[in-house]
Amino acid sequence: MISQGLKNLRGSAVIAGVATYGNGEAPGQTEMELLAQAAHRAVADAGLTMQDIDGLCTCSVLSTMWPMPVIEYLGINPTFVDGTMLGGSSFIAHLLPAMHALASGQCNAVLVCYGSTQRTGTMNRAAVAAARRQMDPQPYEMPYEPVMPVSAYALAASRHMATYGTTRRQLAEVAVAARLWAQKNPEAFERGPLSIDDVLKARMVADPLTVRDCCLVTDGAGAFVLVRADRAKDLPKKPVHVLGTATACWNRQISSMPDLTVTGAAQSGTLAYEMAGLTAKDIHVAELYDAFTINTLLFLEDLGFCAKGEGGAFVENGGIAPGGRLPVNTNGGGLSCTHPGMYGIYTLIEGVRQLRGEGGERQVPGAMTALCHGNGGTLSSQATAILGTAETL
Amino acid sequence: MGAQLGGERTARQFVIAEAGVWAHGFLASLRAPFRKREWRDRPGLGRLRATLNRPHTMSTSSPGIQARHQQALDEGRFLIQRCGSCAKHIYFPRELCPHCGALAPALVAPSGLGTVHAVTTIKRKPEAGGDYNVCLVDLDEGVRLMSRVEGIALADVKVGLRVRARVAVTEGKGLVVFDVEQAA
Repeated sequence: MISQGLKNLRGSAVIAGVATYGNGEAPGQTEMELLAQAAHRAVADAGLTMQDIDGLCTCSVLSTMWPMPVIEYLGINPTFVDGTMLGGSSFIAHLLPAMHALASGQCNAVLVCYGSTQRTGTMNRAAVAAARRQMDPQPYEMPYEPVMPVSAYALAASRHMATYGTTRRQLAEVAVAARLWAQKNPEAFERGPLSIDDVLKARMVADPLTVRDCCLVTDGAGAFVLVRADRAKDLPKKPVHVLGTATACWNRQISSMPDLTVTGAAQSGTLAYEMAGLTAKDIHVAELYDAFTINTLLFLEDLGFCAKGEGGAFVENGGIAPGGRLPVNTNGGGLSCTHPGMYGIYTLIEGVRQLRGEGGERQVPGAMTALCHGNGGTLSSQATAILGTAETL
Repeated sequence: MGAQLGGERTARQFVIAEAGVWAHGFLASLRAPFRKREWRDRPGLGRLRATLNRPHTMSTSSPGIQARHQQALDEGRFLIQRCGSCAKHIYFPRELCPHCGALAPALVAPSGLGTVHAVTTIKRKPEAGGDYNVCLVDLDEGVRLMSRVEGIALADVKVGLRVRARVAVTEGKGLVVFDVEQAA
């Protein structure tokens, strides 16, 4: 049960501006430069200037004190700062603190922003992994040399397959659906043809996951601006309201996860739905953090789109592809659109674009509700947001 | 320049600081219970010098649970924890019980028997050592840990396989691995 105070926040904030920048490859640019470009575009999209921004939420894979250099670089003086770092779910987890800050009048316009040069930067994923062994030790896992994060998701997939009979072919359906959506999105990084057999025959990384079961490694930046709903009428773009949002974290290490087939999305989703007063049946489009194909199955189940164990059957025969039973990851997702280290902010940006009707060839006709879900670490943190147009208030 | 000056202590500052450290240690030793072990453990000259060189700060010098758990592993013993308050088993070892919050769960020896909960074969180039197994094992005590199953083909490590823990000590460092448990 969520509090009346949280229910009162339903729809109280709107995402007024969104932007992405530098997705794919951005050689010669720094993470801050990409972030600043995305931030500027999101603020302009909201009809504001950077001087209007008095709240900031941001975090970085590499820098533990990231809000400070961002404040310095953008030249802002925020009265609300949140640098919570929960991995890829962070930028959805930032929503609720930002909504509290807006509701109390602590600030009036919150910029949420992220940038990464994970693909072309000098500190690549191997170097980050080496640094993390020192800065974020996991002494009860690292001696067994799991290649993280993929090994954790492979373990979860193996358990799901053993428990529910889920097949590699069903996992491959997720990757193919993402690619079919990506082919409708000019911003997507991977738009070439991809068949189920291509996924099954791709190089195995950590059994049962092949390289095509794994997300892209790209550069890129994303940003959005959150304001109080009472300012919605002054905005240049169609306002998208945050109807409900919640975050859950049960563990850090995959070995400490209570049940490898049930993620914290079961908790964050339940709370977000309750705040929004909606259920899975009311959701028109779902943007689910697909770092690996197993993620999409787990989140479809944990967020109530199908029963536990039925995610594989749900996605079969193009179930989540264009024209399927539920539009999922309409931008192409982390598997085919972009995945610059942390993908969560892109689920919100794509959700907003769909509810504004800006989806172009991939637009879901008449979409009024979107569920955007972020995942962090190795199925460690989960954050859910339910967005709606003004008609859903 | 300030930083350079800050790196040096005058002789007077040094004597005052070291005297303080010594006095603190002396007073602490007086307060310590006069048990036989305490006297035997009193520092020799080397340790006294180390004490004198230590900055004048509070010290919690007994090893933490992670070090004690590893020490047992290095001696070939695999230990988990059991909470004295709620009686639940715990792994990985912690200073407090994650179930009820009670401090200092006791280290106990598990039966060593468990079941493979999840498994992956990680691909690696032959020249780097070849493919290898990583799995999660549920011990019969109800706790889970990451490990690997040794001694059978990678493809034969499956969810549900019954396994038994063994401590492999390599260059003095102990690590829990598992073997297939032969049916009785």
